[in-house]
Amino acid sequence: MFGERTFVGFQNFVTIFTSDPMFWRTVGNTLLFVVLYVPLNFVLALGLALWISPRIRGRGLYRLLFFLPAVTPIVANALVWRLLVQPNGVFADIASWFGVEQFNPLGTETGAMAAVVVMSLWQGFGYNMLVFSAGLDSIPDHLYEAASLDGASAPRRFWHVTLPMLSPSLFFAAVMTLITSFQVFAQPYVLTGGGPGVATTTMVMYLYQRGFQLFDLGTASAVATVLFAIIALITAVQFLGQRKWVHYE
Amino acid sequence: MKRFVGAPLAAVGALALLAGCSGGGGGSTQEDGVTTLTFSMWAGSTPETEALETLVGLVEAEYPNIQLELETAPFNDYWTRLAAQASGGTEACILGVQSPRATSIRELLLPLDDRMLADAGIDLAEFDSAIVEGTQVDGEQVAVPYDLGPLIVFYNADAFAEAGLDAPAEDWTVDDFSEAAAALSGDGKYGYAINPTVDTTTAWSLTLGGEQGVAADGSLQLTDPAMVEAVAYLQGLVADGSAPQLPATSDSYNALNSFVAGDAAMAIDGPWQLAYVAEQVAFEYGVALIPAGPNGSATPVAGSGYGVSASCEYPEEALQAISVLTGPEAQTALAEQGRAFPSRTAEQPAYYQGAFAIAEDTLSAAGATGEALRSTANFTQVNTLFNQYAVSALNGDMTAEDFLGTVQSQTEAGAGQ
Repeated sequence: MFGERTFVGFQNFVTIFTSDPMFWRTVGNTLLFVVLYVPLNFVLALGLALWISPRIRGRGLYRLLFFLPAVTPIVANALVWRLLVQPNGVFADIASWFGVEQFNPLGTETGAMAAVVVMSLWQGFGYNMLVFSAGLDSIPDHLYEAASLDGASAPRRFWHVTLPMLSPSLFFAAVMTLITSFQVFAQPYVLTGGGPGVATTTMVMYLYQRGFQLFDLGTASAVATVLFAIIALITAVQFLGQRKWVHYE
Repeated sequence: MKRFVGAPLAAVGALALLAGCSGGGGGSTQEDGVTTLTFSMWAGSTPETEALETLVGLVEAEYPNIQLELETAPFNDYWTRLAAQASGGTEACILGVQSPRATSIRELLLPLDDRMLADAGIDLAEFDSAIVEGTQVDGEQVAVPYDLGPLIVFYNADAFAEAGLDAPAEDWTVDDFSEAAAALSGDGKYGYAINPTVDTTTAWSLTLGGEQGVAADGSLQLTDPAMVEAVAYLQGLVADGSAPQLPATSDSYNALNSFVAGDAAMAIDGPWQLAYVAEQVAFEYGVALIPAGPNGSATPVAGSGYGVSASCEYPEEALQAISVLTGPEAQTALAEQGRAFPSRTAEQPAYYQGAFAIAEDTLSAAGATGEALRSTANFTQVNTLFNQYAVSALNGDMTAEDFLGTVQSQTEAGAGQ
């Protein structure tokens, strides 16, 4: 950061791949977050979108309620969650009714990651829910009528009509959610500071620490490039795969 | 003035050298005999900014040929921005320097020799020696200190009385502390809220084992027996229920806020927090020395000062301005507001006005036993990792040796990059 700059070729990549004690750990943390967050987000968003399908009263209100967390600032969200889950917070009081003495999820490695995932879910499912909800609305009724007349049960209708017709929305949501979940930063930054230990230090958080706290922009840039490559690769794979399962009719 | 923990700081790479960036020292100019200097400092609130503006007024009154352009940022952002400016060669002429971070930004700072200091009318003999030493790097003075703070124990006097305990005596020991912490715990309250930072732990390692986590030569020695003993002691407090379990958060105010809220009866912090505590608490409070270990009481001292950036085109004028910023009048003004405990020994009595009178005995005694908090060039990384792993260690998920060894080895590996 200070002083001369020298061109080191691929040295920064060699460093993070071989001698950096933190890098692979942060890749692992990021992947763990993605593997936990993306499927749960989809299940939650799709489930709620189906539930507030046209038949329900007050649908607009539910849509609004579920979407609210997605439009509130993420830092404010994370701060409120931190207050809720800290040792003398609201959740600890609730846990004490059930005889849990030491409620401190942010004090253990698994608990901290779980808290980050749950908070991210709460923040993130509303957006996909809205996308799915709009997608469901655009499925023509006559398809369901035809399927019913042919004797298809509800699960079969879901599997053979709803999912294929919803596939463009699912594809869009999958691409976007994967990209954003690889870039997770604000939640661990505010909620856990990357701790305990480095259990919740994600790749973007690590590149922030290296670049803007330790002023080691070479390493930070290498981490960023690797992250970009991972996201580009996964997105490319998704686009290749879409021909098999996405139906644009 | 500001806590000296846990945030940005430069891990100076293997290529240590001159700040080779050209550029105009952040827009300082000279016109019609008036020198305009940029002055960059941290300030986290309107009162802090106003206090700085008062100081700028003092400088301009003393030296009509100098004008200061003040730019402020909150403490953590200040270091981030300084790094960004340094990389572009646009850092300000006068920079706020905090003693534990002096090592990491030494390349940005002009070493101040005796002649320069004398020309500006600054006599370091008038300053507290611990903080003069704290603002040196390898024996070179890189900043002129304006405040200092030994770490002290804040205690809830009402809670002590309620538990039937005497207020901490000046010669209280670590055993007294442990007993008090145990007696003050129960019903969801705790005796002592731990701030899991290097500096708070250093207070314990100094008093228990007489050593810091950084050796006198500036090398990191977190695994020193004194540090292990300190961590083990703190682990014991958590295990006994005398101190609460720690959550992992990025908030360095957890311990102090828990004290202020009345959830914890004791906390360790610096006198720069007195103004905040006095404003916030709803109970009688007091301050005490760090309890004495086998070799008596000892406490780490840190503080802040102002330095001249190496790229500054008008170092003489900058140092003249600094002579006022750290001068008796400026320090008295800050002291009376409870914003900073003066680094000038003659001005220290001004601090003990009104709300801060309770700190007088403790701070004078602590000044006598103070030892400059040592730091390494990559102290930010040490701090960051220490805070993160300390949560696991103090909650009993890691042994003291494993914890300190992990932080030591990871920072050593990281420093080589």
